[in-house]
Amino acid sequence: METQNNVNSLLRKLQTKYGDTFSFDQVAIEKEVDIQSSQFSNLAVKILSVIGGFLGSLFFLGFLLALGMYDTPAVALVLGVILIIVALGIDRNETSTLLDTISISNFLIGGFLIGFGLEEQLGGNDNYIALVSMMVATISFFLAKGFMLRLICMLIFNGCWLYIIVDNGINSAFHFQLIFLLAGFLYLSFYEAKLISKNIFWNLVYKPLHAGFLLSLSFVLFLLANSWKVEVYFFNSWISAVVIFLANLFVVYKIIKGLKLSDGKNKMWIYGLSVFVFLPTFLMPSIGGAILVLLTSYHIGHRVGIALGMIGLVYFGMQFYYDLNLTLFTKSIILMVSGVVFLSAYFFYNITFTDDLVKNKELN
Amino acid sequence: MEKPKINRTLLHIVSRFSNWQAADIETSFRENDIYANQNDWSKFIKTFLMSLGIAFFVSGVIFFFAYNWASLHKFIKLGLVQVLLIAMVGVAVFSKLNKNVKGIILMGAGMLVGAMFAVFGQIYQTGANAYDFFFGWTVFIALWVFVSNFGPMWLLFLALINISIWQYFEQVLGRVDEMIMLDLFFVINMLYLISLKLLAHFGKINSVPRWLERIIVLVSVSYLTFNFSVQIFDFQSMSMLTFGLALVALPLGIYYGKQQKDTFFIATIGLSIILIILSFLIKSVFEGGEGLGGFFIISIYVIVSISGLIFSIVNLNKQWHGDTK
Repeated sequence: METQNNVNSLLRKLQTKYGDTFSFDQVAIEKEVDIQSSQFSNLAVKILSVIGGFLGSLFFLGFLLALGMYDTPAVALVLGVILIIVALGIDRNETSTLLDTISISNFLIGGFLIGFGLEEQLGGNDNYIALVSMMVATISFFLAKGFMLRLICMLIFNGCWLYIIVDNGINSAFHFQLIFLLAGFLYLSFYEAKLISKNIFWNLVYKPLHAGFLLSLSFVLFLLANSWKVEVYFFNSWISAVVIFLANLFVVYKIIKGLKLSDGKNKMWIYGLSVFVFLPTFLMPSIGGAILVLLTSYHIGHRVGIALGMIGLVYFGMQFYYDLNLTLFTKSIILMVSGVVFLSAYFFYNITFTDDLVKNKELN
Repeated sequence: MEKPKINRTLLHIVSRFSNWQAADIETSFRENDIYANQNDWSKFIKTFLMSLGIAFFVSGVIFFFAYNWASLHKFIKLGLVQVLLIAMVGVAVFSKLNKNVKGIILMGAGMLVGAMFAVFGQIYQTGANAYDFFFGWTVFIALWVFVSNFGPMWLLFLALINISIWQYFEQVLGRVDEMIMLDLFFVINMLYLISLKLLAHFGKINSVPRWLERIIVLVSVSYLTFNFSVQIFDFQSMSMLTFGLALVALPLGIYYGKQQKDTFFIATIGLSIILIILSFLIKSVFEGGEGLGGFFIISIYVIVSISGLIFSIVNLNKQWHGDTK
C-alpha cells in the first residue's frame, strides 16, 4: 500500500506541475506497481536464481549425457529448441520471479543441447557454434520479458563475441569490443531518462541492458589486466587506454553538466585536475576503467556498479604495483609520494571548493 | 510531511505508462535523490582523496620497511614508524575533521602498528609471521577500534583475531584438525558479531553497519557450510561439534532474520541448508551407483529447493511489508 501511495502522490505532484499536458494511465501504473511489489526481487533473490539455474542445469546435463544424448544429435537439437521455448514461455508469464530458476536452467540446458545437436553438422567448428549462440541469445533477448533471462542473454552474447575474438587470434579486435561495451554502458547510464521515455520496449529492456553492459565491461577490464597470465595477449593496448581516458573526461563533463555548476573557474579546475588524475591510467587502462565505472555508477546511484568500481580500483591498483618491475625501495617512494599528493589534494579541495559548493547549494 | 520514497523502479513504471518528457524525468531523478547531487559529490571526493592518500602512503611505508634497508640504523627504523604513528593518531584525535575521515586516518595508523611489529621482528629476528606478531598487533589497536567505532576498523580487528588464533594453533599447538579450526572460527566470528550487536543495543557504540554484519554472516556461514559438506563426503571424520553448531546456529539465524525482517539471512542460511543437503544427496546417490537416476534426482532437487526458497523469501517480504492489496 505504501508504495502505491507514494506513486499516487508523485502522480499528483506531476499533474499540478505540468497540468493537462501530462497524461498517464493510472490503472496500468497501479497494476504494474502491484506486480512489482508482489514479485519482489532483490540482489539476494537474483543471485539465488542464478545459482539454482546453473547448478540445476549442470546436474540435468549430467543426466542427459548419462542417458547417451550425445549419440543422437537430432534429438538433442529438437529437445534444446523445445526447452528454450519453454524457458521463454515461463519467462513471459507475469509471476516469473518465482519461476526464474526453472526458466534459467531450462534456457541453459536448451542452449547446451542445441550446441551438442549442431556440433557434428557444423563440422565441430567452434566459431559457428558461438555464432549460433549469439543468434539464439539475441532472439531470446527480444522474446524474453524478465530481467534475469535478458541479462543472461546479454552475457552469453558478449561472452561468445569474446570467444570468437580469442579463438581466431584476432586479439586486437578485443579493444573494439571494449569500446563497444564502454560506449553502451555510458550511453545507458547518462541517457537513462531519454531511453526509458522513448517507448515501452526501451523502458522494459533498460535495466537488463544496463546490468549486462556493466557486468560485461567489468569482466573485459579484468581480462585486459590479467589475460597475459594465461598467455592471451591483447596487443595495441593503447587503443583501450586512449578510449578509456577520453571516456573518463566525457564522464566528468556529463557530471559537471548535470550538477549545473555555474562558476567557470571551478570547472577549469575540475577539468585540469581530472586530466592530471586520469593521465597515469595510461600505464594501466583497467584502473581508468574501474574509475569510470565508479564515477558513472555513483552519479546515477547504482549500488552494484559502485561496489564493482571500488573492488576493481583496489584490485587493479594492487596488481599494478605488485607486477611493477622495480625494487621495493623505488615502489615505496612512488607510493608515498602519490599518497602525499592525494592528501594534499584533499586539503586543497577542502579549502578551495567546499565553501563555494555550499554557497551554490544555498542559492539553489 | 515526510518525503514519499520514490525509487528508480517507480520512476521507470510511471514513465512507461505516461507521456512524461525526458528532461522532466531527469529532473525527477535528481529531486528524489536517486542521482548524486553537489553535496554527495563533495562527500565522494573527500572520502575518495583521503582513502587513496592514506592507502598509498601507508603501503609506501610498509614497502619501505619490507625493503629492509641495511644501512639504516635500527633505532631510526623504529623511530620513523613511531613518529608517523604518533603524527597520524595526533591528527585523528586533535583535528576538526569529520568522523569518517578520522576513521580512515586511524585505520591507516592501525596498519602502521602492524608495520611497526614487523620491523621489530625484522630487527630482532623474531620472524615477521609469528603468532605473537599478529597477537600484539591485535591487542595494540583494540583501543582505537573501540574508540573510533569505524566499520572497516571492526573488520580489520576481526581479521587480526582470526589470523592470530590460526597462527597460534599452527605454531604453538602444532597441526590442528582443520575441521575444528573452521568450527572455532565460526563460533568466534558469530560471538564477535553478537557482542557488537549487544554493544550497539546498550548504546555503547553506534549501530553496526549493515555491510559489516552481512560480511561476517556470509563468511561464517560459508565456513560452516563448507566444513559440514566436506565432512559429509568423508564420513569417518564427521564431528558432532559441526553438526551441533549447524543444528543450533542455522535455525537461530533464520529466527533472527525473521525478527529483523531481513531477507538476507533467510537467503544465506537457506542456501547453506540446501547445499548441505545437496552434499548428502550427492554422496548417497553416487555411492549407491545410481549414476543416471542420481543426476536426475539431484537436478530436480536443486531447482525445486531453490525455487522454494525464493518463493518463501517473496512471501515473507509480502508479509513484512504488506505491499500488495
